[in-house]
Amino acid sequence: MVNSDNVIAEVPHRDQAAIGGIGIDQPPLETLPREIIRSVSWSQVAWTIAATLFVLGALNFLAGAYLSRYTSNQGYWLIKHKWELLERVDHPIDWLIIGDSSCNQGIDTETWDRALGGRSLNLCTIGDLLLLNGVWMLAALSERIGSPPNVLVVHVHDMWHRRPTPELLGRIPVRGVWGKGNTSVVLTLSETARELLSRYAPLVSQSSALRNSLRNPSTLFETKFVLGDNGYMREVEANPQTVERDAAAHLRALETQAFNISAENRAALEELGALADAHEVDIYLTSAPIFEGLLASPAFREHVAPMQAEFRVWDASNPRLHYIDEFQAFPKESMQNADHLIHDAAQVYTRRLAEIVR
Amino acid sequence: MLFNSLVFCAFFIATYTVYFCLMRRYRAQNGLLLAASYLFYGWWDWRFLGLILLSTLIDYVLAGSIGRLDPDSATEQRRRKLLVTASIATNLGIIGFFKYFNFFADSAVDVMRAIGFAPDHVTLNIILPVGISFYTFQSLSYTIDVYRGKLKPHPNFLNFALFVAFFPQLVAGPIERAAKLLPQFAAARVITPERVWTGLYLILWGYFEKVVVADNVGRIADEVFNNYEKYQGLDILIGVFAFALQILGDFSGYSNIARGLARIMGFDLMVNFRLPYFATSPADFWHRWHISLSTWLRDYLYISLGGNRYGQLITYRNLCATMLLGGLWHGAAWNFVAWGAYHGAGLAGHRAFSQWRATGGKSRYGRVSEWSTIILMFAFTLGGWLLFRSTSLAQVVGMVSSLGVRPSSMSFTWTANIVFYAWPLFVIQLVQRRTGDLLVLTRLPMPITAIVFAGILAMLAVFGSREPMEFIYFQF
Repeated sequence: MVNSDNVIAEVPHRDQAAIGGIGIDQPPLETLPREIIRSVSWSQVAWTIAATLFVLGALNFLAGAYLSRYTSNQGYWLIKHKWELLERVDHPIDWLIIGDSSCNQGIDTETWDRALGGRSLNLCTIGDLLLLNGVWMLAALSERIGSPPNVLVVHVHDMWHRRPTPELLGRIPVRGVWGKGNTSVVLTLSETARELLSRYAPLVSQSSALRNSLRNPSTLFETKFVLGDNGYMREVEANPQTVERDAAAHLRALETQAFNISAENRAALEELGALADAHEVDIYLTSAPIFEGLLASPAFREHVAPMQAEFRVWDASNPRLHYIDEFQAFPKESMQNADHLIHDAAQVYTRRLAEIVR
Repeated sequence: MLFNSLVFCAFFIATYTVYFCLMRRYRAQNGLLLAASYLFYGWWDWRFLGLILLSTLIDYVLAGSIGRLDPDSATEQRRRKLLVTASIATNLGIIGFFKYFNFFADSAVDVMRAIGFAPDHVTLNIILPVGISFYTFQSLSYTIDVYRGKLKPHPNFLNFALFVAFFPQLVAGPIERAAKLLPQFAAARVITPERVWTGLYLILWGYFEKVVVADNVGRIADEVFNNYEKYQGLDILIGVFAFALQILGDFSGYSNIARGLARIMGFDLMVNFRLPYFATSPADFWHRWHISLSTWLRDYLYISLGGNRYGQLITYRNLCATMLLGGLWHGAAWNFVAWGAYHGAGLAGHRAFSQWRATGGKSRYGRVSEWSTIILMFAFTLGGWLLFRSTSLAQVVGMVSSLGVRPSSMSFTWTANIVFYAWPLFVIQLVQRRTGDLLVLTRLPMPITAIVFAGILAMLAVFGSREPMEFIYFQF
């Protein structure tokens, strides 16, 4: 209750008529909606809050379960399913293919196996997980079923400067895989909070994907992505307009971003050398397929020249490390964007690389 | 510091924790709240803390002096009048300088150019202090109430400073009255389960209105109003409707959060919105929309102008003048003036029409249902929002002339988006209207409450914008 000792008098005034008062045909104040406060006890408040949090937790769990299958976020989906594929592999493999999404849909394992013999496994995820994720996957696979004799690494040219993102680390099903060895990533307190949110609070961390799903109820339970048995994702629809737009965006980005390799990616490159020696693995590094219009640009060639020089040095540092410096160019009609191929072109790209490796 | 930012969450949790620890020492709590309020305001720009302090000091000192003078003595009454005039002049001077200097300077230059002169521009780069219109009106009302003899001067400066700067309502109201809020600061806090429960509900619902409804629906309004030349027919109407929802969600959301935060600390702030889009007439609308401002304008402007004491014509004039100035209060732009004039004309026109009917005149349309009047009044309100959100007369003319019912390829998508984000608001407001209870959701059985509240929290998480968006009324 308000203590109104200081009020001398409430002066009712007939001028309260027209604005916020009692108009001649206006409803008296009593007919307006008001706040009716019901009596509650502290225990009722506490129980209701607890029940609300419980229901919220249940909704969060359901959202996580839904998204693990039906998310529209291809990157998140790939990270989860490629790591799960790794956990399922129960036979030795001859070629492990690691890298980003350009290689996820660029290296067709069937074509690769036909060209080189043996069995390959495509565990490429997304560029924002850097080379680090590939190294962690190689280590995890070696621990589970032994090292593959050969590894192919494929990354886009603009991945090398990037830094790890806590949200994406939170998508890796094995928590803490990033905390081991020479490639360990140390998270600050706020980064750890972001990683935990990403892992355990899909309502918040995957809100865009949820929003997309809820706004398109007809596709709510539609599987958006399909992986082949060996991890290759077959894409069939080209998008020439997007390719051109993407190439233009790449060129704009080159103007402000000189080539450099982030500390984490450099550590991952060194770790690859160490793993190659330790497990007697031959490692082949190459660049993602690229739109011919972008490759033809002098600015692009100027930008990637130092990258090629760096990797040639890396190649020379260890007889088990091999750098394939030749770019493989494709027309826009074979691509979805400037570095992602559709299936027919992926077969060509795979065959070309296999030829070089052989 | 925006309510819908992580910084504010951290700030409030820290403040509330200390506040709770000081529960039996309300004076220490007041000190804490004042420090927190100044930090809250200074976070935006510490230099403007001086302005709040100036308003606070002036009104505290002048009201104190007024209170010591005898209104029955002619000489002292003259001094009282002088002092209250000084308070009004200083407060309005501050607002006038920071808010209206450029507006009037630009307008004067435009007028002079129109009649053939070519004066130099005198526009200064003046930053508008956030919330200046709210706290100066609040502070000013105290001095006027003391002058009118409705209130004794408050003896404690700390309490008064807190009254002016209380952070939940500092930057966008509700504009509180000293008679209601000061006594609450001067007494020990009583935090009951009812206060905490309804306070939490108000906070939750306020965030929903702002983050889910206003921020999402506002994108449609922004698109239509910012590119009005591109759109016509139904799209214009959808854009104006979207803005009506945006401004309701934004402002009512802010008020609810402010009231909820205050309530869980043991304070009651006034209800600022009572389902305004269910109003049946312009006067009814102002019973329901931004009530703290409409009652302020009534008590300190309309009544001072003479109110309805001098016949119909003067009453109409007073209504129009009050609303015109109320429009100008919102911002230094002609669209706000036009919006105020529009509502003033609506109030006067409706008053004249009601009197005509009361004296035996018959409406050509006979009796109309309540829902018809609600829809009619809502259409009138939409007209007002068109003026309010537009940035030029050309835009108003352009949008009105393009208005129609022909849909475009965007019409369905936008309508679906509006329904998608705002359906809980529609449903809950209908239930609130039917029950006459704004807190109806707090009276549901516990399991249903838990499901509804968890649903609201989930929607906040999923549909909330990651980048906190400013409240519209911060610019006023």
